Amino acid sequence: MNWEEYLAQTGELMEWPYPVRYDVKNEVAVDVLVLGGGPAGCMAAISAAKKGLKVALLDKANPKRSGGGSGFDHWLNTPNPCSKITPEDCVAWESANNNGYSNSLSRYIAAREAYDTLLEIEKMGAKIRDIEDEFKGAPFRDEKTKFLFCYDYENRFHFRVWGTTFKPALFNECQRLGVQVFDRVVATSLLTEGGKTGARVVGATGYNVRTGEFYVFKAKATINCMAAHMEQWSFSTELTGIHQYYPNTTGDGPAILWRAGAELTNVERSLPGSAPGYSYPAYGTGSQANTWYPATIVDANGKEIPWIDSQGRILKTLEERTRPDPNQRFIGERCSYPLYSRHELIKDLNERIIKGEYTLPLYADLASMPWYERKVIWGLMVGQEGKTRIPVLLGYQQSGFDSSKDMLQSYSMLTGEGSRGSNRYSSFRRNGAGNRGETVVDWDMKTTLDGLYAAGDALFAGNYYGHACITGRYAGRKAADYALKTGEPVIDRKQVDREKARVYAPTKPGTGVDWKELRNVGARAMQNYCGGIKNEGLLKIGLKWLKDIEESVYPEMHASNPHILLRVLESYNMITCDQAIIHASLARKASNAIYGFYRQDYPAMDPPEWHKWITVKLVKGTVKTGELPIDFWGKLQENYEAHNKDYKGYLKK
Amino acid sequence: MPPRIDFEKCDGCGRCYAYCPQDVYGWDRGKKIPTISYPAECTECGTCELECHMLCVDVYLPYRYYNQPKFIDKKYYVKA
Repeated sequence: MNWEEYLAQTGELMEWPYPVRYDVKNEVAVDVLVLGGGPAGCMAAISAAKKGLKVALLDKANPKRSGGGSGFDHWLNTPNPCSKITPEDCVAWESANNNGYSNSLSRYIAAREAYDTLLEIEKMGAKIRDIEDEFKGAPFRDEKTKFLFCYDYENRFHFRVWGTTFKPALFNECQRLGVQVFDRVVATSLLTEGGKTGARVVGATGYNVRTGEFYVFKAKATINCMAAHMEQWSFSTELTGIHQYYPNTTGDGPAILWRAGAELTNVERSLPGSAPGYSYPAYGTGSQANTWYPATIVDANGKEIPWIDSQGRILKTLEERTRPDPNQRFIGERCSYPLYSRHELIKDLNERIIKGEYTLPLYADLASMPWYERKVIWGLMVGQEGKTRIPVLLGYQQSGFDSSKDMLQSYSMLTGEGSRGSNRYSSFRRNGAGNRGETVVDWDMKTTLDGLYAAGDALFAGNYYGHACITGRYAGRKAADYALKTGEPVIDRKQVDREKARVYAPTKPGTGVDWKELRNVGARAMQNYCGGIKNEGLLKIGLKWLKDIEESVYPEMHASNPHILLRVLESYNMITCDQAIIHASLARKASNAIYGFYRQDYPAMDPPEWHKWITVKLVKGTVKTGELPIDFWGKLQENYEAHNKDYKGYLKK
Repeated sequence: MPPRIDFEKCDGCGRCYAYCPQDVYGWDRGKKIPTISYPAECTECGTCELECHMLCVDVYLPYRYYNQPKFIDKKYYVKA
């Protein structure tokens, strides 16, 4: 039973420290099982429940606020009545920006169904329009629909929304539709037919991270919405030991899929990151990044830093920052490909600071901007984005900061280089920003295992809140269709027993090594042997280190309670993902610019014969690598129509 | 940085403890108040402050970000 049900039935809150009940085993049978209660998972559960099926939703925290639950700022790539942008446009810019290493399949589906999904979520209770007329008269507002747009005010296909209202709305809808919500239950493995890797998925195991109780879920269809692997290279030298940006995403999804024999791709992507413990607040305090776009940035003497367009021409007005230049079709988000790139500050800012032309520190000068830009950046974008609402917006306001009078020092721009770090060969990597997912799927969002579907950030090279909601909705109905016609699943009891033993092994007395040490040594292995400069020898040493860690360090872990057990198991999943990354890195025998992938032994950058996806999976305990053509999904419109004949929505009446 | 709770205003609704994505909170059933059980694991997502209907939870970034309200004065931002 979940927190809400317990409270409603007993009138009391559960006690803590929780009575630890490792010996209790719960068995649940459903039609559709959703792993992960973020935006993708909640939408998937809603979609399946609407078809009248019995649905269970697991989340290691609570789905009301998990998965970007404290807010987000933008809903992207949405063809809508205020815009002429097509789904093909939405796919094209993402593909160009990533040199083809973008999930055009899921992005096409997302663009086709984005507007329908947004309106559905509005009906559930989320706020997507300026109904209070706070921004009446602003150039980014459509007066008729009251929609607000961002980045490209001319082409109007990226929405500004009240992201803090979304997750509670999705959660309420799940409950209204009778989805069985298992909060604080983390999925630990997939169950397969006969207990074999590569076989049909028939459910999953899990355990309650507060009480320790074990769960066996039997399901006709299972959907992986547990996002992607995250932060293999970073540990914090400070207290947390957890990465700040997507802290609850620890690669449980890909690790569980890997162990069951599902195929993964896009695993070997990474970017230069900052040294551990040196990060700034996510999205910063005044910069040119998405949440703050198009903030005016000035130096310590009030001198404005010029903005440039895709051709390097200085923009003369603020208005030009939110319109494509004459050489562009439209503006994509976070895009550097010139045809669709978002405008930015002068590229040689760092050199000009060194020469003394601009004086540090730099400030976001919201006070000099028109009221609607100031209000929408400070009040709406920064105010609705989960990582900045409380730590930045409310914190500064409490100190007396007034955005109409004061300027905001930019920490991330202290050298003029921006927040992403300039050393592309640095050991301190970070995961591939937005496009780091790895599950291979087809046009039904089905993985390479029967009975297993995927959605959201778990999808290979997919990302964004809207994409998660829409693909969740899609995968939910596809999984439901499968569940309606498939045979009864059968659980292999020996597989359950093996998994139960694995999960609870760290509860036995260990040598007292802390789980943070395990995370640190895993990150060190990746920094040393899967860093900015790779070669076969280094990668193989990395595999040896990870094997040693798995066989010698991991068994020393001791979890004194179910919460710490979760941290230990997450750390094991991160080691599993590390191994998959190194295997994929070994298989890619060429360098790849978009992947941040440089091999000393194969220095040729993006040779045409290597313009493809590398796949990895476990087959009978051995790693098998393979490949897929860069556009293996085929013709977008044709395939979408063929797989969704009965679907009706804004783009298909 | 672990959240700060004003226990004089707290009415023991339990929402912070129910919804924390990092399982930072525990619960003292006797006193009917939340406990900060894993302070080091707080990542300042702000869920507890958003969910608290008594406005008694404050979330701040760690000191290394140096934007605690008491530090944010004319040294760190200037009047335009």
